[in-house]
Amino acid sequence: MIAASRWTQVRIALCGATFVGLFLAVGKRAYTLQVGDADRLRAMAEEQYLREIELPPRRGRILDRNGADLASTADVDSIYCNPRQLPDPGEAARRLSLVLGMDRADLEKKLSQRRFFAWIKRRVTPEEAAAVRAMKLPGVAMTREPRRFYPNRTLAATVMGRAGADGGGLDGVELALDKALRGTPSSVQGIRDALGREIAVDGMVDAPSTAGSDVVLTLDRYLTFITERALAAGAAEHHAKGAISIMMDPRTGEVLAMASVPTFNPNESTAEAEARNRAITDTYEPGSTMKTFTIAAALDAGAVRPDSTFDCMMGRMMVGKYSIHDTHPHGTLTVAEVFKFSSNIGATKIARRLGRDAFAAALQRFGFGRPTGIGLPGERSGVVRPVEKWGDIGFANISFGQGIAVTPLQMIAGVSAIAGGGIYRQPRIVARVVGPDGTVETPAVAPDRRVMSAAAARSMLGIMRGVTDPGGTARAAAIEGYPVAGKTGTAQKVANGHYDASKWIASFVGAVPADDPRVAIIVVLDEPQGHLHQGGQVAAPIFKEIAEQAMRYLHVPPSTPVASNGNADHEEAAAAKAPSSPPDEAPATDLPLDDDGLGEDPALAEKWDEVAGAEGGRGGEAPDAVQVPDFTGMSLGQAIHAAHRSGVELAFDDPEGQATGIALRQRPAPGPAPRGVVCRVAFGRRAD
Amino acid sequence: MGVWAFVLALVTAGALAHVAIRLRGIQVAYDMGHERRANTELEERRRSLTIEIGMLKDPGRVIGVAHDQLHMGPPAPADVIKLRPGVVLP
Repeated sequence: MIAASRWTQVRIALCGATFVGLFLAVGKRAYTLQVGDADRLRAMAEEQYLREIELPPRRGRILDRNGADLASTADVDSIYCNPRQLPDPGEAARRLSLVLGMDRADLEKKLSQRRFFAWIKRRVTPEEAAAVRAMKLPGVAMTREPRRFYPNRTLAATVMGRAGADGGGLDGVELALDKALRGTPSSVQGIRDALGREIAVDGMVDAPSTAGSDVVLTLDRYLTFITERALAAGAAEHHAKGAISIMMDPRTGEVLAMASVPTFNPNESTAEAEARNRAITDTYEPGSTMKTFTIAAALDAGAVRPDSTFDCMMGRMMVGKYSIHDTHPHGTLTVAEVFKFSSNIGATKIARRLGRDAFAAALQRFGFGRPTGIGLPGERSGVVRPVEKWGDIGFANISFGQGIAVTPLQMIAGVSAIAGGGIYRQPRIVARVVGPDGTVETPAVAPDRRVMSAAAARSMLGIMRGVTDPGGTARAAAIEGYPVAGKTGTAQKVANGHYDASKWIASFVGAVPADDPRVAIIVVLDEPQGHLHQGGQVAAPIFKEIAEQAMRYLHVPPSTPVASNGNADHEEAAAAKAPSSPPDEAPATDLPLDDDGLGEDPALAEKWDEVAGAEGGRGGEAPDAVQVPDFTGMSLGQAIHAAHRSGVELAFDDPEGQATGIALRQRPAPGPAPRGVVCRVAFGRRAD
Repeated sequence: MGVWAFVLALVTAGALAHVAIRLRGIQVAYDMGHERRANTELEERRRSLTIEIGMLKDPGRVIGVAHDQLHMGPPAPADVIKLRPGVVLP
């Protein structure tokens, strides 16, 4: 009995020991797997389940100088299918072709292939994607692909170029800065489970680090818009084959607008074959605009003064066996008049006085004959023959813009140098490149260089103002309130080795306001049709249209009095209407009240009339008193108007600090007040 | 025997804790993947909206609306007033 009991205990102990041994073995193994060999085993496992997850770089944006998107990338749907899973390719092709606008036969052929994958349509619109999703066709699925968008459609299209389907730049800024925009492709080790869900693991990088850089241009979206609009309208009016305009800030060399006609919509895959950035790719004979540099160089060298005189030989001069003509016969003209009346003979004589080598050196200083280095693809250098090959007639021709070819960009850069006080600044269109990590890189620019003395530049600008004076060649470029310094150009095009009398290049280049130029603008029309083909007739009005709006947009106040119903300064007129105006101010002029910006609000109109009426009835008031108008309900502009008329100083008491909305309260209240009173007006939104 | 049982319970608890931690780690990794995807989608949405804003602010469209719908126009040069010295701006 005892022996049996002992044997039982031994068996239990053996059993227990066995289990303990097994448990220890399992534990040891578990320890080995989870702790001891963990690193090695993890590496072995990752080799099996970790996948390379591709992180395609997101192409950087192109922005204007104010940060507005000119080009951006977003993911859109692309539709693909597994043709083997389609039960009825014919029916699927019929339905898909209807919503995707594709050829049914082509689609059916694609869907009938015995393959596992076929693209149906890539980068579809949200509407198309929704329609295809609603069909729930077996085997048809979608994936996301990046697509380049140009939100402003045709705006600055010829400058920006476009990006291809593979994300690479094809032209313009997209091509020139492709490396920066494209970014760096990368891949990370990631895990996806059986359901395709992404599981984060150590070592995943942030997507932005692979993104392309943003490129900030010097272009201004609005200035580009007004330039393009005016240029397109002008080109259409004169049925021009093409047109070009550039606006540049002469103080910095920054290109504010660059427009070409024809243009294209980069959002659409088809582009007009003629659409290109003509501002840098096309060269032309500048014609009379070149006289600007002839005379500028002569002034700078001290060869002539603005009042130096030249005999223009009544419009005909022989140079060897060739004759040079002026459009209108002139006798003796000053340098300023040679420029104003655009005398070829006068320009020839001025260039001769300057000397051939000095003139050639001046052309080189002003940047002709070589690319400006703006950094856009396809920029041409123009044609300036070596000085030793000019000959007498060649020298004469170049002095008034024949026998030389320039790009519009070269021409505006040269005029900008004059407008900028005699300093040539390399044209710039890329302001900076901002990396995904915020680093800012500014493209290298050639240092500014003086090409003529400031005094000579000032004299030249003064001479250039003459073209918009009565008798000048560009009266149509004159802008009320803003003096314009410019020059017209009209040149025949060369066809089959001869000048073609039916093909013209008309241009105008100028700076405004002439007393302190803020912008320099060139307008070139290629082959304007009809009876108008001269620069002063077709290009100057476009210049005026662009410059006038640019001045308004840039908040440049008029620098000369603006006529209003009687050739009186508006401000002075307004002051004169107020009874408190001192007697030595300008005589009063009635302001038009039918364009007062009051809109159709009768209450406001009534208020405005009330103010105007009150002013008219204040004649009997003491001269040291003013009538404070009732400003409530007026906009900021109306309040300023009313304050002007009544001689009251305004201060804005606006909690938001922006004087937005309408005037809500004022202190002091409407009524008589001592001269010099400051009326505080609170602006804001009405509570109701 | 009691000691052995205690050790066994301790080891078992440790093993269970280890497994629980691993499971929690996997869950966190799933959550992170989900959040990352959501972040990507929101970024994409933001990008699309930015493009849409750009289209709405297209100067051609804005000027079209201002001119055609609101009957607005640029001020004549005479309507531009130069403020005299002494006018206090906010």
